[in-house]
Amino acid sequence: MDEKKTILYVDDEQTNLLLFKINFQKRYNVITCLSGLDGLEELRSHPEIDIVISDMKMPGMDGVEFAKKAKTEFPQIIFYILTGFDISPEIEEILNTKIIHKYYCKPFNVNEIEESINSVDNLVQKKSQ
Amino acid sequence: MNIGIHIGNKSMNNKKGELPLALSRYKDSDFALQQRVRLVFYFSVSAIIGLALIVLSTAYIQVISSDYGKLYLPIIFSEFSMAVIFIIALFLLMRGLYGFAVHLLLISSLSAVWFVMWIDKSEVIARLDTIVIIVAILSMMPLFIIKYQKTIIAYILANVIVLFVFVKIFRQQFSISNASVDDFLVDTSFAIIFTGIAGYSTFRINKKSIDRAISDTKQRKYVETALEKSENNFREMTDLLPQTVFEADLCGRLTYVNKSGFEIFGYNTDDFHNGINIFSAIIHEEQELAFANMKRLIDSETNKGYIYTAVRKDKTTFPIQAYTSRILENQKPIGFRGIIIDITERKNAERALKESEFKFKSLFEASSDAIFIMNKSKFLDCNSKTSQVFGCGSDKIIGHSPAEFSPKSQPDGRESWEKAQEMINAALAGIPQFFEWLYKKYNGAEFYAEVSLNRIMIKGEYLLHAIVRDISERKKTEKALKESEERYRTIIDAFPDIIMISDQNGDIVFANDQLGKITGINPNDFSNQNIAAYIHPDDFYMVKEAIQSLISEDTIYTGIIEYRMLDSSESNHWFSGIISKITLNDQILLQSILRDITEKKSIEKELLKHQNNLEQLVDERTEELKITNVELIETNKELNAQRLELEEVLKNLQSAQKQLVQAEKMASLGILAAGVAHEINNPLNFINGGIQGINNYFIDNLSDHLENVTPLINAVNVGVSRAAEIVKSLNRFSRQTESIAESCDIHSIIDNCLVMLSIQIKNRINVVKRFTNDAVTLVANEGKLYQAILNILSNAIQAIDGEGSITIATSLVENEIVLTIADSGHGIPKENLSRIFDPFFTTKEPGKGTGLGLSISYQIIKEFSGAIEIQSEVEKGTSVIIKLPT
Repeated sequence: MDEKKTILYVDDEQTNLLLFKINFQKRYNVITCLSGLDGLEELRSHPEIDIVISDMKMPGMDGVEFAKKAKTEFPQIIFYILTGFDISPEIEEILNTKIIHKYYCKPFNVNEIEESINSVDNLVQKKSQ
Repeated sequence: MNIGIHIGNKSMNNKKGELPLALSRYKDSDFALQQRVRLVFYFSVSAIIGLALIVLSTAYIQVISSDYGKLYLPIIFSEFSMAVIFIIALFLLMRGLYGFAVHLLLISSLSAVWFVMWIDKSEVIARLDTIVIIVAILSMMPLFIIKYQKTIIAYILANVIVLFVFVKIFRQQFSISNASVDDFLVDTSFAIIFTGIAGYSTFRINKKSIDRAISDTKQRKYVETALEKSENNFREMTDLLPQTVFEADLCGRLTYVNKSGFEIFGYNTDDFHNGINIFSAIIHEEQELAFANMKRLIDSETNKGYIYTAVRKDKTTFPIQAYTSRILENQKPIGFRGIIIDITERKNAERALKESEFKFKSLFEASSDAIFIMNKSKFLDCNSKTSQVFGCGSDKIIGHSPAEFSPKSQPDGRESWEKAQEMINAALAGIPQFFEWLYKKYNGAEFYAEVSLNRIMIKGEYLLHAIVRDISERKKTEKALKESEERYRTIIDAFPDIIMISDQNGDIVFANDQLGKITGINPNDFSNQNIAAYIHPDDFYMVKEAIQSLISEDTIYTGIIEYRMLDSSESNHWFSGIISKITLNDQILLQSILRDITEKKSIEKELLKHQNNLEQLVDERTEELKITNVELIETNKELNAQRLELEEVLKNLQSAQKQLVQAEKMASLGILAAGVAHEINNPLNFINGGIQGINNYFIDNLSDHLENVTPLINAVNVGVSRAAEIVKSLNRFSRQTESIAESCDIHSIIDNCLVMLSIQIKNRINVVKRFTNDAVTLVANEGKLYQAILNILSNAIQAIDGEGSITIATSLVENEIVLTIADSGHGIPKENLSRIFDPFFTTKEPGKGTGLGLSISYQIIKEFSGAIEIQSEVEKGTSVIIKLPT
C-alpha cells in the first residue's frame, strides 16, 4: 500500500482545518471542509476518501448527524469524531452502533490518531483478504 | 356409823341359863319355862336311861327269879312302853311342844300306874298302895304345869274318879269291910285331893312368885330399855346438835364427842381413839387461860361461857364459846362436859353490825342532805351537814327551836311557826310530810329546801326524822330548764317540719303542731295514736325495718328515709325524714323529723316521666351516633393511613426535589464546564496543532536550530497538556450519563479531584497519598464516582481551619477497594455523627452548604454496592472509609 490514504477532516474552525492539514499531509491526503453538508459533498466528489474525522459541535449539522448520514451513504468509510467535549450520550450511541470507529478529544494528538488509523487499516486489509 | 361412843360401855351379852343345845328352841322363852324345860329334859333323859336299866334288870330278875324263871313279857313290855313314851315326850320337848310333852308324860305315868294296878295279880290292897305313886306323881304336877290351874284340878278329879271306879270294880276282891273300903276311899281321895290342893297351892304360889319375878324382870328390862332408848335419844339429839358436845376426863382427854364435834373440828374416830386433848383444840396462846378456867370450874361449879379461838385439825382457826360443867361421881369431880358453839357467824354478825352501824353513821354524817332528829319543839341531834346548811355549829342547833331557822313567814304568806306546827303535828301523827320550806340561816340568809319529815320511835318516844335538802341550785336550774323548754317548745312548734317522738310500738308520745297541720291527726289525741296506722301500707315494712335496725344496732339515727303517710282524710303525704334513737326516762324512744315532700314528689314524678322520654330519645340518638361513630372511626383510620402515606410521599418528594435541585445545579455546572472545556479545547487545539507544525517544520527545514527550539516547544507542549488535563477533569466531572458503566481508576479520579480542588489545597494543606500498587479499578459511572469522592475531599478540606493535612490511602482487601480519606480537621460532634448522611443536614451557615454533599455521596456509594463509614473525634479529625467492590 504505497498510496497515501485520504482523510476528510470536517471542522467549523478554519485554523483547526489548517493545522490538521499541515500536521497530517505528509502521511495522508487531507481534504478539509467547514460543515457536515460540505463533508457529504466532498465524500460524493471524492470516492477515494477512506477516513473521515469530524468535529462534534458544528453549525447546521453536528458531528453525530453527519456521521450517521455519511455512514449510510458510504458504509465503507471509517469514521472518527474529534470532540472538544468529553464523550456524550449521542457519541456513545453511534460508537455502540459502529457508525463511528472511535472518538478523540481535542487537543488532538497526532500520534494517537495515526496509530489508530494504522490499526484500523490493518484490520480492514485483513477483512478484505 | 356409831359416832357417839361411851368409854367403858358394858358388855350386853350376859351368859343366859345353860340350856342344852337340844333345847335351843326355848332360848327366848321366859326363865321359868326354861327351867321347867330343863327339868323335864333331864328328867326324861334320866327316865329313859333308868327305864332302860329297869327293863334290863327286870328281865334279868325275871330270868333268874324263882317266881318267874323266864321272861314275863307284860311287865317288860309296859316298862319298855314307858321308855318309848319318854322318848316321844323328849322328841316333842325338843320340837318345842312343851305342853304336849308334859301332859303326855303325866297322863302316861298315871295311866301306867293305873294299868299296872289294873292288871297286877297281887293283892288288891297291896295294889292300892300304889296310889302313893299316883299321889307322888300328882304332887310333881306343879313342877311341870305352867298354865291352866284347872288342869291340875282335872287331873285330881280324873284320878279320884279312876280310884272310885277301880275300887268299885275290885270291891269284891277286897277282903276288908265296906266301911273300911269307904274309909279307904275317903282317906285316899282326901290324900289325892290334898295333894291336889297342895299342888294347886304350890302351883299358885309358885306361879305368883314367878309372875312377880317375871314382872319384876320385865319392869327392870323395860326400865333398862327406856334408859337405853333415852340414852340413844340423847345421843342422837347431841348428834343432831349443830354445836359440839363433849365429855372429857380431868386431864382433858376427850371421852365423848358428838357428831358435830367431829365435823366442826375435822377429826375422825381414829383420832378419837388415839386420844384427843380438849386443850389441843384451842390455840396455843389461849391454852393457859383455858387451863385456869377449867381449874376454877372443877373447884367450884360455875357455868360460864368462855370465848376462845379454836383450832381445827387442819390448823385453821375460828372463834368459839364454850359452856362447861364438871362431872361428879360420888360427890367427886371425875371430869367435865360441855358444849362448844362456833360463834364465827355471831362474830361476823357483830362485826357486820358494827360496820353497818359505822356505815349508817357515815351515811348520816356524809349525807349531802342535812339530817336531824327533833321532837315537837326542838332539835335533838343533827349531822355535820346540818351545821353547814344552817351556817353554825351543832351546839347552836341542838336544843334550839326550828322556828329560829325560819323567816317570819313562808312564800305562801303563812306564818312559818303556824305552818311548821301543822307539818310537825301531821308527821307525828304518822303521816310522812314532804314539802318545800324557806329556811333562814344563822346569819339570816334565806334559802329554799326540800324537807322530808318522818315519824320514828326511839326508846318508846315518837320523834321526827327530818331530811333537809338545799334546793336553791335546783330552783335555779328548774327555772333555767323551764325557760329552755319554753324556748325549744317555741322553736319546735314554729318548725316547718314534723317533729315527733314515739315509743317502739309506734305510739306517739309527743308531736309538734305540724303533725296536725299537715296530716290532720289531732295533736291533742296523739297520746294514743298509733303512727303505724298512718303509714302507707306499701312503706310500712320499710319503715319498720329501719326502726328495727335502728333499735338493734349501735347507730343513733337512720339515714334519710322517705315514706308515705295517710292523713285523717286518707290522702297521701310523702315525707322525708330521719328517725333517731333517744333515751327518756330509761326508755328508748324514737324521734322522727319529717318534712312534707308531697309536692316535690309530684314534681319528681313529672320529671321522671320527662326523663324517661328523654332517655329513650337519647338512647335512640346514641344508637345512631354509635353507628355513625363506628363509620367515622373506620374512615378516620383510613384517612390516617392515607395521611401517613402522603406524609411519606411528601417527605420523599421533598427529598427528591432537593436532590433534583442539586442535580439540576450539577447538571448546569456540567453543561457550563463542558462549554468552557470546548471553548478552551479549541484554542488549545490551535496551540497544540501549531506547535506540532512548528516542530515538524524545524525538523524538516531548520534542523540546525532544533536544538535551541526544542526546549521551547516542549514548554508549550507541557502547558498545553496541563491545560488540556484541567479541561478534561472538568469534562469528566460534568459527565452525567446514567447508563455508562466504564472502567474507572480510583487513583486517577482522586488525582483529578485534587486537581479541581487545588486552589483550596495549595499552600495550606499537605496532601499525603498512600496509594496501593495494585490496580484499583471498578466498573461504574465515573462521573458519579467523581462526585462522591469530590464531595468527601471537599468536606475534608473545609473541615481544616488554617493549615492541616489530608491523608488519602487506598488498598485492595478481598476484592474490595478500601479508600480512606483522613483529615486533621475539627471533627464531628458525636450527637451529629448519626445524622451526617441525612439529606439537608448541615452545620454550615445558611447558603454556604446545602447539606446534600454527603447524602449524595452516600447514595452513590450505595448505588455501586459499596459502604461508607465515618470515624470522627472532635478536634482530632475525621476519617471517611469507603469500600467499593471491584
